[in-house]
Amino acid sequence: MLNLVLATKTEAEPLIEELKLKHEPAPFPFYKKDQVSLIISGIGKCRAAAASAWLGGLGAPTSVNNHQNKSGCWLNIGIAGHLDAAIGTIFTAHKVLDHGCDKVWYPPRVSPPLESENLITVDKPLTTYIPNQLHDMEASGFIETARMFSYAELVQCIKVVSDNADQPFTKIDTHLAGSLIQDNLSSILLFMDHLQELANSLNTLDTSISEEFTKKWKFSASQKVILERLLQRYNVLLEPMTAIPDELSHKGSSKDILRWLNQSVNNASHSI
Amino acid sequence: MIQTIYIEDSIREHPRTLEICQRYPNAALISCERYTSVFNSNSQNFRLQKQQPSLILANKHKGHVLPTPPDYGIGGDSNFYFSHMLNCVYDCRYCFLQGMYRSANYVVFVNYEDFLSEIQSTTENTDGAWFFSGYDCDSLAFEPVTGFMQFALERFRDMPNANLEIRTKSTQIRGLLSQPAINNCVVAFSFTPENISQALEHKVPSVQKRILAMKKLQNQGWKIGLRFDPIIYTTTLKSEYRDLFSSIFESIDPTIIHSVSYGAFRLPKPFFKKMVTLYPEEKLFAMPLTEHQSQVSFGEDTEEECLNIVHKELANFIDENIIYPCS
Repeated sequence: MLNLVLATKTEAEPLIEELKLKHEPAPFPFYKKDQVSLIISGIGKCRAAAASAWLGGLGAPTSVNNHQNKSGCWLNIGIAGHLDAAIGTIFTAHKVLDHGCDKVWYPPRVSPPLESENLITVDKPLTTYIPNQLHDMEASGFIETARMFSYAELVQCIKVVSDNADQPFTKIDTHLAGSLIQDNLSSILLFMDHLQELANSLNTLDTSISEEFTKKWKFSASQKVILERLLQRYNVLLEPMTAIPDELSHKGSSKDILRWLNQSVNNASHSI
Repeated sequence: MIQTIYIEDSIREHPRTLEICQRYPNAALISCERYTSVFNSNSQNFRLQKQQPSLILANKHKGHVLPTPPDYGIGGDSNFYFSHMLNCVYDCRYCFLQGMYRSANYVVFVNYEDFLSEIQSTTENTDGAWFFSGYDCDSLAFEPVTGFMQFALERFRDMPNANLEIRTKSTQIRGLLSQPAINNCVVAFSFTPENISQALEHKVPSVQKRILAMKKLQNQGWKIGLRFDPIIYTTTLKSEYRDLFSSIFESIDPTIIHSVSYGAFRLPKPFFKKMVTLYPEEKLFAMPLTEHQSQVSFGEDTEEECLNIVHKELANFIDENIIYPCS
């Protein structure tokens, strides 16, 4: 899953078009296609947090495998101010500071990195620029919330410089915001691909067969955890299970199933 | 290659910080108030970070030297450990660090002097204390960057009442070979049999390269220790360890080995649980392991069988008085 959180429609439009996302009814402007979701939060960290929380709720866990639950990629994309970086320069954020509460996050730099910079999230536009900082209004709300749904490495912010000391912020130029994202679209798409590759590197075992088991027999919540791990072990020590084995079809209860799986993995070869 | 270095504000201008940063001119330098805000933050994934670990340079304020667990040691009465670095450049799948830390980034504490002064003061209150390095990291693998051991050895030379164990799987021995051996230091190499090493000890120098490194050190007069911990159960354990010991003792002189220790594979249950989540496809974790007193292991019977085999094979080469089982 790739979850994109943007503040305004103009910033989002180049991505909606490029990724051929379709509008879907939701409390926020929301677009989706296959594994990609895009939400337009509105301006400010509270809106960014609320939109991220709503989006995170959509991907509620369907599997007990922690990696499958938490391996969604999250990107906050938007424009930002900077004292002296050229307009149109694209950065990821390697340190996000909430100006209001001084809370700090360090989004891990993922390889191959875009240039990265510190980012400060402010509640209202500042009249002066703090050196060596991107200035935005959403990142801290986004990052604090998105990290509840995924790993820190997979939660990233991409910002394109829209104003600096030479061309300071006066009011949001909607046309400029859209064209800055459009101009950097190839870099953004490349970064998305890389992030998804990183997420995919976690999903090394396919135990989707567990759904067949839970449809056919009734497992308690704790039994589902045991079932998932036994299926993983079965895949590792024996062979990937693609269908429920025939000899299990007559088993009456979930306990019988778990016992059979346990015996199978314990009788398998145990040499590294 | 390190691409990102986090630097605690308090040591930004420390000479070692500057020196280490100079080695990575293209790395992004990111300031942080305390290393823990990076290293211990929530939601990190050790496995993802291990693909491209960052370096964190920090100052250690307290607890530079700590007592070892009660049964840990090689014959001494007073045993301590210290860690100038957290995390390891190698990626051994059985390593407890994966279960203990949230982050795979390397932390290097640059205030080496504080470690050595605490060792010095500990020595004053004990007789013949042992100080173990290599508990939270490999002692030598990052030595070209940190230079810590070089620094420590110069001090240990003047502390004959203190004993140092440098535990390693590394072949970064240039610094040791460039100076005369010291009597109160043991360079202890860790081994598993070749096939286990290839399967589980990712990025670690081959068994043969480690043996060669030991041979060079022994020839120069350094005391050598051997560590066979963890012992991983396999159906061909006996022949694997027999081959390993033959290879080792063909190259180095068993009669002047300082000490040998061995221990079975075991992990605290919470660490094991986290490691399974990180690497569900790992065969070692899929094998039938048992839980006993919050530890995960191959089980008492299998463990005893493994330990007996290894001890017996070792005793063919080594005086039993210098063989220490670890629990």
